[in-house]
Parts: sequence; C-alpha cells; structure tokens
Amino acid sequence: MVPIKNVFTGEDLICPRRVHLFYFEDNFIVILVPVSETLATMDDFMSEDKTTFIVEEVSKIIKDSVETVIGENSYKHGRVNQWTTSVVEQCLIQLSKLDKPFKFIVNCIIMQKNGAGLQTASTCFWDNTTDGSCTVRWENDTMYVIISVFGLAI
Amino acid sequence: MVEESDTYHIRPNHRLKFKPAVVKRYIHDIVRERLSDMQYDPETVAELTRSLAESIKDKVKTAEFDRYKIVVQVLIGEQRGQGVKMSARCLWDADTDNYADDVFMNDSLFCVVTVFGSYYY
Repeated sequence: MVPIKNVFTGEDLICPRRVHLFYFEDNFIVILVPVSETLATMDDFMSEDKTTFIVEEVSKIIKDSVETVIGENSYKHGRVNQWTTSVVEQCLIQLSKLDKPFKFIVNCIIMQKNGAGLQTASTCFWDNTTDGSCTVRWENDTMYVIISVFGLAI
Repeated sequence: MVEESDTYHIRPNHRLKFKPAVVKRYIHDIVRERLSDMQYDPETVAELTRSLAESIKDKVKTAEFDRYKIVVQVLIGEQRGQGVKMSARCLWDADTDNYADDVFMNDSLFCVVTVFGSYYY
C-alpha cells in the first residue's frame, strides 16, 4: 500500500497528540502516532522525583516523627514500647503518603544513656541505582534514638 | 540483578520463598561462632559489626533465594544494665516478603541481627 497523500498532521480529538493521517488507495486511512508522542504521556510518571529514593526527604520525615513522638521526654522503661511503635508507625504513614513505588523497612532503636557503647551496621544486596537507605541518629538528655529506613524499588 | 530479563513472575514459587527459619539458623551459627568469647571493645567493634553483616549477607546469598533483595542489619551493644528497645515495621507484600532475626548475649555484649528479604517483581 502506497500512501496517496498525507491528509492531516496535527492534534486530533481522540488522541490529543500530534498524529499523522495517511490516506491510501482502496480507501484505507492509517493513523500514525510518532513514538516520541506516546512516550510524552508517560513523562509525569517516569520523572526522576517520583521513582527514586531521595535521602533528604526521608531524613526530614524521620526527624519530624521523632520530634513529635518523643520530643523532650525522659527515658521510661514502661513507655519505650509505645514510643518505638509510634515512631515507626508515624514514619511509615508519612513515607506511604509520598506515593512512590517503594517497599519500606523502618527500624528504630531506643537506648538509655548510661555510658554504654552501641554500634550498628547494615549491608544490603539490592539495586544501587534505584534503592536507598537513610539512617538518622537523634538524642536528648536521657536517651539515644537510631532510626533506619530502607527503600526497595518495586 | 536488574540486568536479568523480566520474568513477569508476580509471586515466587512456594518452595523458593524467603524462609525465615533457614536464615535464622545461618545467623545463629555465624554469630555464635564469631562472638562467643568476644569482649566489647570500642575500637574494634565498628569493624566487627561491619564484617559480621558482610558474612551473614554472603551466607544468605548462598541459599539462593532467587530475585530477592536482602537487607542485613547488625546491632552490637555493651552490657551495662541500660535499657534498650528495638523495633521494626515494614510496608511490603506480606505474601512474598519476610524477615528473620536472632539475639545473642554474653557477659559483656549483646548482639541483634535482622535479615529482611524482599521480592523483586
């Protein structure tokens, strides 16, 4: 089939992108949508900000959660359970609001200040380009709080 | 891992899922072997936690949980009578993803290891 003439080039109503209409003999009309135009509709979804793990953003969420839940409270053995749960839940709720295609793991350690030493390390087998982690160390007069967030891309 | 072609498997085969019991035994063995007669020493503990995490990660990789991303976290603390609380929560697919953990204590230190496994669709 040989195109007789290029009837129309421009936006049409059904598919609001620049398309090309070709009128063929035997009364065929072919609509060609350039590949670049189709990818343009995916632009929003594929933009960097929506699919990568941004450390600063996550770090801010973690700091806000800790400030809100613990703030200036003193270490109390009876309340630690509730604090860890609340901090972790707050973080997770805020992270899920980011609406990113990630699975999250949030880890929280609260330790009373009494001169003892603490060391934590983590290692991951993942995809370096899409996945990331963020660890925040926070303290007040009576306790240390370490929160780690791991984001694994789907 | 991403270089492998897409398999379009949404779920791993039941036999190939991340098995917490198996991983817990790996952690248990490695930690006991490395820390049984260790004392908490601020200078060497940093290197110790890091190398412990690497060893555990390498061991879990030998189990060949296909298409699983692994996160290993090791915590070593000095025993001085202080209170410690550690908790974790995950936003993931509970059907395919899982975790394993173990705690070890001796007179001068305590060690908590957590291994998370997350399926890559």
